[in-house]
Amino acid sequence: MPAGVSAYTALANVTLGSSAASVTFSSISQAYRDLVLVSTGTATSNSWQVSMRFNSDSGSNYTDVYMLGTGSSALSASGTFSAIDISFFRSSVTSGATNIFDYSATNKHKTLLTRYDNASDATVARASRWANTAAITSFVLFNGSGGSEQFAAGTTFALYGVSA
Amino acid sequence: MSFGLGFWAAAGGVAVATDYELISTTLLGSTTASVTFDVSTLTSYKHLQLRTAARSNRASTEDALFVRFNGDTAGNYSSHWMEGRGSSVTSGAQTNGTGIIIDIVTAASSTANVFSASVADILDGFATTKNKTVRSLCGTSIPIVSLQSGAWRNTNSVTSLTIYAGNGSLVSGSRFSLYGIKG
Repeated sequence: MPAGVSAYTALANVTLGSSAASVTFSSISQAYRDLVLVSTGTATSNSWQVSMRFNSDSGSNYTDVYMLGTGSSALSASGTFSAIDISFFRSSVTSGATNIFDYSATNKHKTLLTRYDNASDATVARASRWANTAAITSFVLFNGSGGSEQFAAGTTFALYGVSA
Repeated sequence: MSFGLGFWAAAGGVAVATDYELISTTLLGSTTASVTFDVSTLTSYKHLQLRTAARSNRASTEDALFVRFNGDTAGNYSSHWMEGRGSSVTSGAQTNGTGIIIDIVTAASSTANVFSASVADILDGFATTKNKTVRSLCGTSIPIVSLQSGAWRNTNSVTSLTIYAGNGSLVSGSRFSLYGIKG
């Protein structure tokens, strides 16, 4: 790609008109190097982790480390899970951005970097990995905390392809 | 709720000239000591951004990834960081380094096929009245996630960026993409 051409291409921009249990992006173009997902939203009730899963893989193939500051303390934790957390939704708005590196490569595990913030709760940075070399063709976002709470109407997800 | 993107992709996913533009990408095909970008002609941009996915051949689980400006190898760089390694959040600093840390990358003892990632902003890189500031978000499941910041204590306009691992070389598959941001 020659210099002078936008490196970001909007692939999808979703605004929920009603509450939803999950949001799936499928048939993702393989024409880009990275993906960036920008999320801004709230939960219908309670507070829960927004989780991401690739290519319908629900196995324990996701690893994650985060650091979190609440305004009075800071902590870090890590582990292996069946999905990656990319945000934390509650009644007040949480905004974040997730970078998915080399998503179309077939010789690398997929590394993610995420930042999200909720003014009433915390600021968080995460590094995550899907232990799979397959190209990402789809992902689903859902309530990873396991309750029946959903994404509230008005929640937005914008997906971009980043050229390289 | 599901959103298929096949139609959009088939339609070309139109890319137009905007204020965030790809300059170039280096994807290593073999182990390499360092990667240098000549940015001397990019002064029409206000800021630069590096997006990296890298791995070192150091005989360890990790190595530091640095950026250096204009070939300056003297101790004119300062770095600060805050990092989480799964048990606590810590902070550190380097006052007279020979480069700015932008990532803690995987190395020879890490799980195969795992490349640490970073997004590093080089702010006001072409200004001649300011020292140069770099900040990055980086990490992978070593486990480490980190916020890095650094300064090159020099007001010269940046003409080149050199990226290198602190204790090894960069292995095949490591990728470095440079973007220009107008202002």
